[in-house]
Amino acid sequence: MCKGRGVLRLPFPHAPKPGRLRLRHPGPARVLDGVRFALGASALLTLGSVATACGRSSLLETGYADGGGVGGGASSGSGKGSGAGTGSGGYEDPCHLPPGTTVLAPWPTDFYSKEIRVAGGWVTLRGFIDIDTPGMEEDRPVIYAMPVCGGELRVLAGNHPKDVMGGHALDASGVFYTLDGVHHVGWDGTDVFIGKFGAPPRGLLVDRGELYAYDQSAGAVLHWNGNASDILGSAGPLASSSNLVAQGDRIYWIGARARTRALSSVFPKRAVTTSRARCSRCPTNW
Amino acid sequence: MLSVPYELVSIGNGFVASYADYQMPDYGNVERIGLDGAVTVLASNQFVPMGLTVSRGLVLWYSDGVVRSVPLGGGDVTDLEGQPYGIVDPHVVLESPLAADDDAFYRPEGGNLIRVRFPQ
Repeated sequence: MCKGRGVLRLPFPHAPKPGRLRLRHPGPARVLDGVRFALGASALLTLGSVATACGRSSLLETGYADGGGVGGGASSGSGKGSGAGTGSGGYEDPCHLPPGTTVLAPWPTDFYSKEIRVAGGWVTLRGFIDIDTPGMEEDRPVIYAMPVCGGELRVLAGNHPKDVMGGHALDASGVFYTLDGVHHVGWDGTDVFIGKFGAPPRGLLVDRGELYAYDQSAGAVLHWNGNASDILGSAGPLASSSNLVAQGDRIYWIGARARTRALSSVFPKRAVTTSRARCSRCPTNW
Repeated sequence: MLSVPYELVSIGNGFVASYADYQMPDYGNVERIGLDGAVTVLASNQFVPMGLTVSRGLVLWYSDGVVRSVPLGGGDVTDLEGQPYGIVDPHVVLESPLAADDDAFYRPEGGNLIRVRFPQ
């Protein structure tokens, strides 16, 4: 259980891009923490500064997708309208955290999460760093890790071309991820290439030291035998969502496709093989 | 034939948990699907989630700025965080995968990682 060790509880403003936002519909006036916001048709977020129960100002960030207007102000006083924004938005205010919620900070604002995993006291996120600088216009995949109790944010993998990092899984030893094959990177950052595994696989699962993958091009679930991948069974073609999960003595591939409900394919686990023992390049603590 | 333009699936405790919006865009059902194929709606008319997972007998999902849960065996939907938070406007949908072991973890786009304690 976390005791607050190393946990930073800091607001960390961020700046989502309008193109990444999805506006369901403009909402009516709403009260949030004593501040009334009237969301205009073009408004995304709201700006204001209000004293909180924590005895300090709580910055509520604001942004507009297209410069539309928003009125905001303390509910007990007069409202103050504003009609310009910077496109930034979102806040995490520890004063407003419900019991049981902790902000683990800080995280880069230009990192967009695609996949999150938690195991062995670590939580990892695979995603992309948004790069807008000239000459580096492609987003870069990266895997970050942070202890579940908070602490140092580590970069476990990164600086690779876009769309080559297709999935990740973790156990107590570190993180497995796909690139030109499957890599293992320990919590100390030691990165080891394990081998070719699929083309490349789009989903990874590590269970009791055994490595499984879903190869979307082959529509198959694979098992790493220590030297290469074996086909565990057919899971069908690419689904709009796809998961590999270990339950009991079986491996499930679960996916869904348009006009169908969730699907599942069941495969018996492979006996403990050799993925560790035959990896002569693995770090000693793996 | 059902139309399922948006799906998320996960598995745990012998069930597949799924989200599908069959008719209304952006709204749908959180379902439990037994490995025998039997479907049970656990929560209907839910806004499209960005992440869905199963842990400790609960189906958890993140949508509308809130992490919600419902027991796999059926029951009330619980907002683990009590109120929309993490993004100012819960109508703005952000990419945010979700994972859980002893706690649930999610990260609003561009924000910090959030750890949410499970209900006791």
